[in-house]
Amino acid sequence: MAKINLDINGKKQVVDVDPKTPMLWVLRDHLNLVGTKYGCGVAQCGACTILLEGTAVRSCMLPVSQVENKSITTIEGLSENGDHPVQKAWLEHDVAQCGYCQAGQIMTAVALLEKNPKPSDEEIEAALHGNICRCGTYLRIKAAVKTAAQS
Amino acid sequence: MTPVKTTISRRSFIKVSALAGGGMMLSFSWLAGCKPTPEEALTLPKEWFELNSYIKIGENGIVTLMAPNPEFGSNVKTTLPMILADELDIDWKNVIVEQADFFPERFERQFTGGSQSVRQGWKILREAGAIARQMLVNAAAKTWNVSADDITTEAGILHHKSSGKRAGYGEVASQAATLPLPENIKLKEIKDFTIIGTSRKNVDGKSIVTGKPLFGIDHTQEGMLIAMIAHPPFGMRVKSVDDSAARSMPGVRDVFTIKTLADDYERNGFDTTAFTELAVVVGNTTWEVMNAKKALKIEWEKISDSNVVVNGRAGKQTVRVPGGLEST
Amino acid sequence: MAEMAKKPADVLRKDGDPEGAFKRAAKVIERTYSAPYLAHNTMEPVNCFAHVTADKAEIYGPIQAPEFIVQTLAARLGLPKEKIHVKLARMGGGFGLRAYGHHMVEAAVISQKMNAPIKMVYTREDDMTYGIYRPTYTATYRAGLDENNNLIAFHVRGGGIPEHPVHANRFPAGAVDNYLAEGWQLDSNITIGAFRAPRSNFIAGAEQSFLDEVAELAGRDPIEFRLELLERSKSKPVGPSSNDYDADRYAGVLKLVREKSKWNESQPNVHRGVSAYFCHNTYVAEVLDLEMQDNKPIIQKVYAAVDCGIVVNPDSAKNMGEGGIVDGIGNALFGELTFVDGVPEKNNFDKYRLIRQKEAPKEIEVHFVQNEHDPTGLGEPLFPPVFAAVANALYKATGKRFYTQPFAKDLQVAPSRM
Repeated sequence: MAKINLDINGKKQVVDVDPKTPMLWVLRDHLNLVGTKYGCGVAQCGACTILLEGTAVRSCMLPVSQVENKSITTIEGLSENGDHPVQKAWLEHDVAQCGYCQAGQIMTAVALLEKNPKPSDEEIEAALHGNICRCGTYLRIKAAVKTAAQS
Repeated sequence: MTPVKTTISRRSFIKVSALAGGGMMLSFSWLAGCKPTPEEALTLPKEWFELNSYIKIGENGIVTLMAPNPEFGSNVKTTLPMILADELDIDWKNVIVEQADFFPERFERQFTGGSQSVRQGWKILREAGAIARQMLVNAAAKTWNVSADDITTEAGILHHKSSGKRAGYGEVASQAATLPLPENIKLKEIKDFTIIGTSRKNVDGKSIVTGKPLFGIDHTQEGMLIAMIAHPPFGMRVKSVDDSAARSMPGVRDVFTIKTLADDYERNGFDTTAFTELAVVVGNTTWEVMNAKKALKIEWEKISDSNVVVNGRAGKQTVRVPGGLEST
Repeated sequence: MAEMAKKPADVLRKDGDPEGAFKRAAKVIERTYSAPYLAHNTMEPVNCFAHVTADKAEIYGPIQAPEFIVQTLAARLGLPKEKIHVKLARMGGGFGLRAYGHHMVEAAVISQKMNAPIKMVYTREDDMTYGIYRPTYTATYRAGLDENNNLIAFHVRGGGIPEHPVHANRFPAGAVDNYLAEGWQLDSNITIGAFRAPRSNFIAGAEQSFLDEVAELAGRDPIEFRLELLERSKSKPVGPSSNDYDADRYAGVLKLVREKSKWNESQPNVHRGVSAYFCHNTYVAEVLDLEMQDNKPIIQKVYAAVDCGIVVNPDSAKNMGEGGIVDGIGNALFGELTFVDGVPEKNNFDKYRLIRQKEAPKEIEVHFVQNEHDPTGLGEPLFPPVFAAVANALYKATGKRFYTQPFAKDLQVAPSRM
């Protein structure tokens, strides 16, 4: 076990965990930030996507020791009231079916738009190709990203 | 409006208070964190008046509609309450939807699957909405001393044309809740629907995009431990478990095997026939238990042919479970 | 399974004299279709919270059919049913998997043993290898045409492990004078369960691919061919058994999709496949347009026409339709679970391929027939016909028929990863 300093959603916190613990489980089990989802544990589905210094990363294979003092944003940190432009676009298109993968999809979209505010269809598809939606809401996801890009 | 006799089972109209005396546990305070929060900032009433299992109305006219069926993504949590809301004749913006617990004494049908939720819920939910509406009309008729037939409703407002009297549902809800179940109700004509046939957004939409704990896997509470199972390949069962390495790992509370169904248990159609014996690791956190599970050394052994009794939709059947390790 | 396919099967429906008609037919066509086991792969792995004490059980988790699991829990825990409280969690996908509540029993037994509240969580690997799969199926179809290319004999012989996929009274039953439907099944210890549109999820694709080929053999437009058969089922219904479908509503969706997709207009390099199916009380017809780029199908657009009666929540209904179509395309192209010595060969998403963003259609239009029938459901009906819409469009694109799922194997499409 080791004390690790974290900067999550703008809040400094200390956790006492095995340094190898993936960030996903630190968020979910230790900090009760359960918006970030477990889907596969092998960085293949994107449900666990968070932002590390603004870049979308898979938290299920990211040891907590590697993110010490680095800025992390989770779905809970995007906005106070769900009014981040990407969240609003998701609501406007009523994207979700089961909703389980959507936090990961949204975080990937946020990272994309940070780097590329006006992505083409192909760029959106490429950026979100790593996020599986078993319900098949891919078209609405793409439409929501386009709406968010215009706002 | 089409006059009809109520046909749905009376169980929808058993009040919570009536059940409470009968020994039913009604408090689900152990999951207080799951209580609904209105998507839009609605002012919650001081008091709720329950008209039937599906519908509660507050003194301020805010309505809680119960979503009877479990939600797996087909949006029944939104769509089924829309049917209630239309026949109740209320404004959707004043609605709070709450996921019902499994409660067969109160809800006719709580199965999601087979594309049947809307089809089989249609009649029940229309009637439940229309019955509540009729109770509100009857309460207003009594208060105003007029005929119920002369009262119309629109978007949560009762109106008596000749006297010009008007009242919101909330104003008569307390009285309506004490009235007997009306035997004659009126269902709307299809052309008069105001909510059915219009697009309404997922009532959990905002909770989904903000990462609220909506799913079973998100649940946590004081003292809760984490468990994981290990199951054999098909055609095998647990022979022995060497847990010596796993037991000494951090955060591990216990390692054991369980048997989930007795050998002579008569299964229903939704019980599975495989893996009734499992190895289990219990510990403090998911990551610790996951690691300990990997450290289990489990020996499997082949099963031989066996029979299990399944009493499913097709009646009681003996199902042969062959031994052998299958390849495709 | 190939051996079993030759052995006697149960006769599910027989009209007229199928063997006699096949003997006198001018043309006979026989084709065999097959599909593997599929895992549900709900994005939320199986999990359940349980707190069992001496006098009650509190259960919270994903479940589609709480009524059945309460019976099982009561028997296993030795508690009366009313002392078992099941709270219904929002589920991260269901697709039939969560009709089965084994996880609730497991969690409850563990909680009882630990005398503590516990949350049981499956790893993705546990989830994918646990069973309750979509069965593996095969079906052999035969059709006989007379010298005027009229369909005079039709035979379907379907089998599966451990259940066959045949719905004997569905189209084209009732539209062919000599009709035979048979089914056979094999026992297995690999468990199966409901999977989005059980049985239809295979047989629709097989039947609608076969009808496409029969229409071609008869020299007819595939939509016209189906409409003619539907007309026959009304004007000259065959057989003592009632058919499961309403021919007018079935024809209605075919006509609507023909209109909306501008079926009779062709575009360069766009290959179209059509398919229609009735299941779970809802009628669906679909037209799928694809282009081939580097031997890879790019699905440009899917048109769906749906008759589910009154549409309660239209945009939500469209969402379900889009999802069913995307899911169907994904399973048709990629879905497969295979076994070696009782062990599934895939246990996570690095091996089990699900459809991803780039592979989804670029556009989907879902159109509803406007009528005042009582509403029917949409969770399943748009899913089964897509398999054949994909196969029939791939045939137009490649000149090759696709009989064995997943189709991407025959296309040798490499996964397009990030």
